[in-house]
Amino acid sequence: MQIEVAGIRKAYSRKKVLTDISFSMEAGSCAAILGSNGSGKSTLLSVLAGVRRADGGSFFYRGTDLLRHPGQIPKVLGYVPQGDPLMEELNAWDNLRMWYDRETLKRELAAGALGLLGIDGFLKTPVHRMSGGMKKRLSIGCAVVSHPGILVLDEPSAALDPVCKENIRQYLSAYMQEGGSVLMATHDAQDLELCNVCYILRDGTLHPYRYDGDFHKLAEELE
Amino acid sequence: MLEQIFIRVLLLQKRLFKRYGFLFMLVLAPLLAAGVGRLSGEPAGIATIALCVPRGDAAAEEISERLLDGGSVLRYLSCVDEREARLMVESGEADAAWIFSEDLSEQIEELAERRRVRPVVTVVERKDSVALTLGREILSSAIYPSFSYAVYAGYVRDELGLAQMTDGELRQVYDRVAVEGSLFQMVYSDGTPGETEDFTYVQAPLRGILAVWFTFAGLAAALYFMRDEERGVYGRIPVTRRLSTAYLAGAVFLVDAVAVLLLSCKLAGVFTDWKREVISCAVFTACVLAFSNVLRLLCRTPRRMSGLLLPLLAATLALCPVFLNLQHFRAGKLLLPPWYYLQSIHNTRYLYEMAVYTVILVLTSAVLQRLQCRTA
Amino acid sequence: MKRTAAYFLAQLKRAARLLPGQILADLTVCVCAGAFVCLLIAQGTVSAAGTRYRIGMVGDLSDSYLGFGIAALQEMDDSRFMVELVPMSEQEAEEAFLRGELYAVVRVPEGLMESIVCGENDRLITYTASQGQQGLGTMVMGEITDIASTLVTCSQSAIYAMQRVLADQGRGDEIGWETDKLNLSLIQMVLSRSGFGEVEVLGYGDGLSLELYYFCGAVLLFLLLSGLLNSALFARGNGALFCFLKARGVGAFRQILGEYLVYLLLVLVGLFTLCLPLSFVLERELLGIPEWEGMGAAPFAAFLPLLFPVAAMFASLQFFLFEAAEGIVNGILLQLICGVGMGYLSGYFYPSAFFPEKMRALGEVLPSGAAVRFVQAGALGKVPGSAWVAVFAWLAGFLALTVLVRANTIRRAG
Repeated sequence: MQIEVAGIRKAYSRKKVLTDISFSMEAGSCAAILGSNGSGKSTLLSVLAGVRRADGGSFFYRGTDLLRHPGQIPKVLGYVPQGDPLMEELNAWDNLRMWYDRETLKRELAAGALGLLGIDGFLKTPVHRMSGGMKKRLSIGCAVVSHPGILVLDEPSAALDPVCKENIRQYLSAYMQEGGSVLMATHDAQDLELCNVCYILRDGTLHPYRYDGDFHKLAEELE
Repeated sequence: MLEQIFIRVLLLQKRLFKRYGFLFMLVLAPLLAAGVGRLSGEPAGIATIALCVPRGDAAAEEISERLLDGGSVLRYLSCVDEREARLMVESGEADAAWIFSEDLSEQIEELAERRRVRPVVTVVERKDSVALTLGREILSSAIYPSFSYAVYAGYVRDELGLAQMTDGELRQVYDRVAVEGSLFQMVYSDGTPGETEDFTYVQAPLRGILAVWFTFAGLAAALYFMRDEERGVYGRIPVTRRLSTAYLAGAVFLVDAVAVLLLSCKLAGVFTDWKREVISCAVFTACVLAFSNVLRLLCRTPRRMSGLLLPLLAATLALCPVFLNLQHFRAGKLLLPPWYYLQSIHNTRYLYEMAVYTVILVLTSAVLQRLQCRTA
Repeated sequence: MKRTAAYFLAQLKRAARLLPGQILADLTVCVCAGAFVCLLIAQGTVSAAGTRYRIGMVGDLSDSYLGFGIAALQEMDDSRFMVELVPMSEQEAEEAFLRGELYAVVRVPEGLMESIVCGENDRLITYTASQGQQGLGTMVMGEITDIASTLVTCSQSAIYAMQRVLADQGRGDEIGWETDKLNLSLIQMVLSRSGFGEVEVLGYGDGLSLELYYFCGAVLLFLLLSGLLNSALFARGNGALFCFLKARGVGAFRQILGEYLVYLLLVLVGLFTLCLPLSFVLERELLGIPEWEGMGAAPFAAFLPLLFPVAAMFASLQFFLFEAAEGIVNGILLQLICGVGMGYLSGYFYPSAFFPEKMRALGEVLPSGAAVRFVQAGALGKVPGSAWVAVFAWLAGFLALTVLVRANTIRRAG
């Protein structure tokens, strides 16, 4: 297995949000985390992304426990939080340039992730003038330029139009074909079609769920 | 790596310059400094004195000239007669009136002959105060040269038995040996002399105001970082390396503020010399950066941090020598970066103390960051 | 109207959540401000309180004339009530000065008296009255040294002139004796120099005492800067919400009205929090305000309603600054520089009478100046119509500007 997560715990003061999170993923696979609002999906993803610290557990990626070596996380994992983590005053190019060098960006725009996401079409647009879809694509772009092995997305399709959703899904398919693993929190039925495996986060633990295309059944399950 | 840091600094800077509110805030400080610096040259005083000098009396005119040319901390308003002077005091237009006797020259000569001090000026005051006590001393010192000359002339004529000497002769001898200049010189703790006469007390608090503003610019930078952090802007940087990022982002913010601080000091007329100012500002910047990061880590949320601002401002204004120099609460002063900065301009000891305090703050922030990493 | 009221209630609930934190911060400010005002008044009325400035004397104090001079100043001169001269070693003085126990350190150079006796005056007495850059205190010290210098040099001139006359007359043998006699006469006159003026104290007239002036200044400064305390309320302003409200019929004006009223309530809560410790202090007459002497907190209770219009005006100013500043961070810095700058120009820190005419005029025109005029007139019994007009004109002006900025925000977000 490329990714092995075991026994992750996290509590805010006395409130236990994650009690025992364990799962594994193959390279090139996609896992969805489902759960009702406030169940701890974002907390789990931010713990895996190194934004929050876990109270215990391990997160092995190719034999390295990333929770013990948090400095390695940005090199192997791209994280896109729910809100767009962009600097509103700067344009798309500046936001990308903040994290990557010029040559890499040019290469990626010409024939890489940024080109696939269509970011070259709005490079000079300031973030505060961008649509929601543009912002989301740019946020993903900021996360994937360094070709991380894992992509962690927190509700990537929320409030996007169908064309934009499709663009993102196409990119994610291409990303997985190149061997990347995607872990996403989502409530979108079409996103789920992309996933090999689904988990429902309930009472701080993950429960495997087999999504068969019946969204009503899923909604009942989540209730 | 270094190139990337440089690019980040540039982009963070570009980002700030895209905010008109930030630019407006930067422009306001030098505007205030330049305005006050310019206006400070106009006549002003800690007490206003209505001066009623009888016309045609040589001694009165001489004394009034001495008062008006003295560059004093008092402000003088001329008035025609005693009635007007009293009215000015009663109405609050003046704090006191100095009404000279109509026959001042004669009175001084008479008193000098007897070598006794008797009232030659009526001092009308609204209420006794430190400023007016000082004012009376200034008045005495303005009268004293005329009086001491009269004592000398009287002494020569009466005690030495040289009544035949004319006024002209006596004056000629006196002027030949007269001692001039001050016996005192104000120096700072580092031995440098005090400012020139152009420096007025109106300008004096400007450096303090700017230092407080700069400290709050540091706190604002920390708040800015906290809000960015909440939005996940720095999500790509692991929590363990977040502190250095906070220092970098804060430093970018403060680089602009420090340029404005130096410029404003220059415009306000409180600037000393480049080397001293730049070194003090550099250490002050580091200190403010570390101080705001410690507060950021202690407060943890922008809401708590903004709740802290007013108490902190009150403490800073009360304890740092901005408007007044209180000789109490030294322990509290030691916690505030502007206190060190304001003292360090003329005393390198405080520069070293500020550097030590900065190191303590940096270490504290590192410890707090580690603790926060565990609970993040 | 119903929707405006609903929006107001929603904002009120939001404000209620911030209230405990705000009251805590208010109380902290009260303690700081209380200490500040007490110390300010204590320093401003040093002579009345009988406090003396301690001045450390270091250097060559061995000369007997100098010793006599210091003793005379300490025993016979009027300055003894204000100044205490303490001979000490350089190190002791430096440490005491650093600890804040000395107001100034005066260094007497070697051979000072010889230099004075010869009339050369080439040895300067240096003094240090400030750790940092000079301020009002050091300038006052400068005045005092100028006075001392004038008294010494004029006495010197008189003595040297007398000596020259004697020498010119060929009576050089009398110089020593006559010098001592004239010297004693002059010293006697220097010591009784306060007798040059006959002092007549009128009382307060129609102005404020320094204590009441600073009291008004401190309360106004609190109100002026309370925007920093209430900044949390502006932490989540967003264009989408404003657009939504506009679509629901709550336009820019109604939005501002609803938010402003809640904001004003918070400011007033802050003011009432400030009033509690102030009433306690005033009841016990700890501030020593002469106009309110023997009346406890009653005059303050009568004075308090006068602060409401001013609080409303300052709240509108703060509200405008936050709205115009695009974001809480710039808003805070803008509040600070405007608050401290305007407070300084309008005489909240030093009496405005200290300032040059043009600066005073500028200070009076500003909103902070309108507030101080209003409150001071109120403290003296009657607020003139022009003061009311000025306060309400600023209030309306700031609210109008805020509505314009909000309308623009809605237009841009939409």
